[in-house]
This record gives sequence, structure tokens and C-alpha cells, in this order.
Amino acid sequence: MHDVVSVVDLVKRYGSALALDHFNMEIERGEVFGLLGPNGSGKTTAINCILQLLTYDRGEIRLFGQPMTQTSYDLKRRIGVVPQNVAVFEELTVRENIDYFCGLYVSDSASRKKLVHEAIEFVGLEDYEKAVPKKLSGGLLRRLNIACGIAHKPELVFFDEPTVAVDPQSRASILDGIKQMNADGSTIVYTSHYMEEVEEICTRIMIMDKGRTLACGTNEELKQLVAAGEKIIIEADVPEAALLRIRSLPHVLTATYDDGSLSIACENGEHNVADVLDELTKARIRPGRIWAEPPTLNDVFLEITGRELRD
Amino acid sequence: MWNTFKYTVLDLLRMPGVLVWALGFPLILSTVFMMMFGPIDEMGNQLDPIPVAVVQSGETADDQAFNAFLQAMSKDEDGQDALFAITTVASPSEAMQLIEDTANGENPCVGYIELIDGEPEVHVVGAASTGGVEKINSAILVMAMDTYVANSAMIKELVAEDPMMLAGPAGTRIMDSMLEPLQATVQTTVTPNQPKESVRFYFALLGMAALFGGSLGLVALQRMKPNTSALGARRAVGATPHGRAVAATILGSWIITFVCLFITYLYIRYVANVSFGDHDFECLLVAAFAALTATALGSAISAIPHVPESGKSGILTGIVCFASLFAGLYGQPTMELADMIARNFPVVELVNPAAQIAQAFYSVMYYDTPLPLMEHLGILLVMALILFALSARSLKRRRYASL
Repeated sequence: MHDVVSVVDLVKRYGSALALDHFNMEIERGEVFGLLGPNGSGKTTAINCILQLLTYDRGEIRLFGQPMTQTSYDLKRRIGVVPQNVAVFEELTVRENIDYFCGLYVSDSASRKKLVHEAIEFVGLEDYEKAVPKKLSGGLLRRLNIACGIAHKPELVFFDEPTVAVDPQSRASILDGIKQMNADGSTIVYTSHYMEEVEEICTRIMIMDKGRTLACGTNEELKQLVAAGEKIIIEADVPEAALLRIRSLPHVLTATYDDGSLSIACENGEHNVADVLDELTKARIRPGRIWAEPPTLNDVFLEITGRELRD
Repeated sequence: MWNTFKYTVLDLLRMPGVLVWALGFPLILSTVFMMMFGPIDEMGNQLDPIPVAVVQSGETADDQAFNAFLQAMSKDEDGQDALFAITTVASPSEAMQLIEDTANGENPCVGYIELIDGEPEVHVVGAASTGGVEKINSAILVMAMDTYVANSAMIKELVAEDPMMLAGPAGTRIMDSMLEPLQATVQTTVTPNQPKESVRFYFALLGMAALFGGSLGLVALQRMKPNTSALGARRAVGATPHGRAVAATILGSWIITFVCLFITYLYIRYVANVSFGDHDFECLLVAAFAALTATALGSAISAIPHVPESGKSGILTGIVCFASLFAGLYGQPTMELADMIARNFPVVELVNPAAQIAQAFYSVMYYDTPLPLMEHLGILLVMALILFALSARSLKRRRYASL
């Protein structure tokens, strides 16, 4: 069975700047594939090349096993796009906008009417059908942006940073919607620089930087790549002698104490928290609040590039 | 394709900024013209008798003959359509006073006649400074008096040679034939519709209104291009074939431009009362061709690279204002300038779409042959094809090096 998306050796230059450096990507049917990287890492460029909006210097792009070209209308019919910036007609109402974009893929008006209705329900814009975009809040606009891209029920949907500048409630709603679409059978390509979102919804993640693939795998697989395991934070009065003993524990990488808070970075280990608490008990230190954080994708990015994801 | 057409039309119709230029502004300008030219046009419509003062003469045979002549010229058989409106005055000074008193009126007295030694002496006033209608009226007056002098001299000569010649039916025929040239002198128009000085402004206005409609095509096509907006990029990835989407967008822009122009035409025709004769179909045709040229102009401007939409709108506005100048929109001095340029550099008028649109309407109104109209429509069509050809590369393009 063919990959839904197959990108091989894609090179894209903007003048002398290399935006995609021999970029490769394979996405299987039914995946929620995350493209994670800082701004300017090449995520949007990769998508625009796949959609044939941008010319590229070399490489091969295939969708559903067929070469993707400017005139591959049969392929385009199976694709939905939710761009990063809200892209709708300011003068058309919510329903008209969705109907227009659905009409780019579905010519039968009776089918379209049903699809538009379902899309409006899906994004929860029933009360705003006759509103024009300028009357909508930022979150509602994002929902309209999504409805315009998914109304025709595409098999493959590209979401390019759909939650930028969205309030937490709308963000949660958008992510739930994407999960629902995936459950209904759509393959999702999701770009973001918010690692939490990618971790939450993506079944496989590619980390990009400077037009190159740094790592690719499931959330767990990526976290296995880094030496750092969990991070333990304990509120307590810790004298210098106790701190030195904690630093000497077998799995502890670093331990710092600042303003009543002890932060310990550990290697992957089975009972790091217990070992630290034993040491505190021996030193007759009563801990306050204790919590442990598993490694994040930011840790992965930091480990690979030496930079924070949001730098 | 229908979907794209439908929403292009809806989108454009709801853009107040665009419709203001394509429809609102021409209607406002038409109203201004109507207020400016309405009274002048009403005067021009009247084929009134020419007001003339006649200094009262004596009771000699010459005086009686001349009075009979004047009476014949100031009333036709039905008592209507008289050539002269005679006011009898006691003296030349009184005649001059009458001329002065009526100078600024609606129907000024063009001069006075005094019979001296049996021959009428005509005094016309201010011939050099007066406008078109007064000048023509003065010429008619002079011609009438010249005819009278020539005919009365001939009659006197005939009577001197053979007094019986004018007796009986033969004499009546001779007298009738001598008066014939004057009886045949009536004010009429040589064009299918009576010319008005103001119509040129309206024609130029229609030219300008059509070209402003180009902004519809400009905006609509601009919104299709992936490199100008996120909306354009999103539309470009749709599954509707690109050629059909472009065709539907151009069709939608053209139809709205056409409708706006035709509304302006109807306003000028029925509200401003500018007569186009029974030529609504021909005017519809001109509006259709003019709208096509305007849409093509918008399309060509939208193809200019590296200029934002506001800059392109500015370029279109500049072109429209400049073209309208040479179509004679901005008053008498610019009309004379436009005429001078058209005489000396005909190619300037040839390539000026506003002038061609104005001339096309002019042809509908004033020519009784369709050839001039066909010529102007042909030129507009060629212009449209050239402009579309210039924008073809940009319209066909779907992929860019950068967005």
C-alpha cells in the first residue's frame, strides 16, 4: 500500500538561502503526522511545495501514490488545506464562505448543501451562519478557517499552525475536532511550533530545523533519543551537604537549589524519585510539594540542536 | 465554474469601496452635470423664432412691401414656427435699448433692422463674442435681409421693363418663387438626434465610468493569485481547474462592470434626459464592449509584478483620470486640448479607451450609419484582447518561487 504522502529529496532555495535541505517525508494512511519546528524551520515551505504553490529545485512529491502536479485535480479533490493565516472572503457570510470553498471540490449543489451544514455543525458555528468574518472573534474565525478546509471531507488534511493566536478554549475545541476527523478516517498533517499540541494529538512527529529533518518517530521514540529522563522538583530547605549527596546519586545528571526549590535532572531510570526522597529522609529534610516532569519534545530539540524550540 | 462566478459577483457587489468608483461616483457626477447643464440644454432644445427689433418706418410703397415681408417671415400658415419674432420700436436707440435689456435673458434680441431709402439696414450685435446659437441667428437674419434686397431689386427691374408681368396668375407665381428661398429657410438638425453641447461631457463620463469598472476586474483577479494573499493561495489549491476559475472570475467582473455602466447610461438617459434616440440596443452593445475593455485593463494592471494591490488601484485611477482628460471630461479648455491632440496626434485618441468609449456613444447618437460605431467597438475589442494577452502569463501562473 502506498504512503498517503511521499516526499523524497526535496530541495527548495529562496535565492541563496536553503529552505529545504534534501527533505524527506513519508506519511501513512490514518496517521496524525506532526511537523514540529521553530518558526522559519521550513514547515510551511514543505507544505506549500507539496501543494504545488511553490516551485522547488529538486525532489519528488507523490500523494496517494501518484505524482503531485499543478494540474492533479483528482488528487487535489482528496486534499483539504487549513492555512496558517485566516483565508476567507471578508464580504461573504460564514455559510457562503464554506459553500464557496466546498464548491472548489464538490460541484453537486445538493451534496454540497449537506456537507456545508455538517461542517458548520462540526466547528460549532451554527449561531453565526449569516455573520460576516469581521463580526467573528479570533477563535470563531479560526473555526471558520478550518470549516472552509474540511467541508468536502478530504482524505488528507494539512493543518498549518491552526491554533496560532487562539484562546485556550478554542484551541481545545480545534484539537478535539482534529482528533475526531482522524477517527473518522482522515489522515492529518499538522504543523506547529507548540510542542504540547503536537504531543497531544500526533501519532508520529517529525522535528525540523533549518529545512532538515532532525528526528522522526512517535512521541515516546523521540524521547528515548535524549539522555535526559524526568525532571524532579521538590520544595524544601536543602543544605549544601545534602545537595552534594543528591548530586552523587547514580542517575542524577544535575541538581540545583534556588530559593527553596530543588531541581534535579535525571537519566532514564525506574525509581529516580524514590532514590531522591530516600536521600532527603536520611538528611532529615521534610519535603514540601514534590512533582516530576517527563522529558518534553523541547528537551529532544534542545538535546539535538543545543537551542530551545522557541528560541 | 458557476460557484466561482456566483461568489465573485456576490463578493464584488458587497465591496462598497469598489462599487463607489464603478457606480456611485459616475452617478454623482451625472447629477452634477445635470444641474450644471440642465438649463443650457433646455435652451438648446427650443427652436424659437429669432427675436429681432424693427424700427418703425413710414407709409411709402417700399415701407409697406417691407412690412408685408416681415409679417410673412414672422408667422407661418399655422401661426407657428415663425422665423422671426418681431418687436417694433420707434427708433434705433430704442432698438439698442431692447437689445441690451434682453442680452442676458433666455432669448436675446440678435439685432435690429431699419429701412433706409427703401432698403433694410441690418445691425447685429456682438457677433464676434456671442456663442453658437446667437451667431447662427444673426446669420439667418442677415441672409433674410440680403434675399429681400435682391428680390425687391429684381421685382422693381421687372416692373420697370414690363408692368404687366406681375399681373394675373403668372405674376403670383413669380412673386411666390422669389419668396421661396426664405420660406424654405427653417431651423432643423442634420443629425438623427439634436446635438447638445453638454452631451460630450456625458459621453466622456461614460468612458470614465466604464474604466473605473476596471477596478472590479483588478480586485477580483488579485484575489485569485497565490502570491498576493492567503486567500489566493487557498483558492489555488482547490480542485477547480485554474482556467475555469479565471474565466468565471473575469466573467463575473465583466458582468458587474457592464451592469454598473448600463445603470449609469440609464440614469443619464432617463434622469438627466440626454436623448440617445431609439438606440438602447446599440448603447447596450457599447456598454458591453466598454466593460470588457475595462475588465481587461484591470486584468493587465493586476499582472504588474511587485506592486501591492493599493498601488495597482492607484495606477488604475491615474490611467482613468488621464484618459478621461483626453476624452474631454474636465471642461471646455480640456476639450479643446483633447480636440487639438486628436487632430494632430490621432493615435493618442486611438489608444485611449475612454475616448473610444465616448466616441462609440457619440456614433450611436449622431450617425445614421452603423459603420462608425462598429469601428469604435472593433477598436475596443482589440484593446481588450491586447490587455488580456498582456496579463495572460500572470493569469496562467499557479506556482511561485516565493509567496
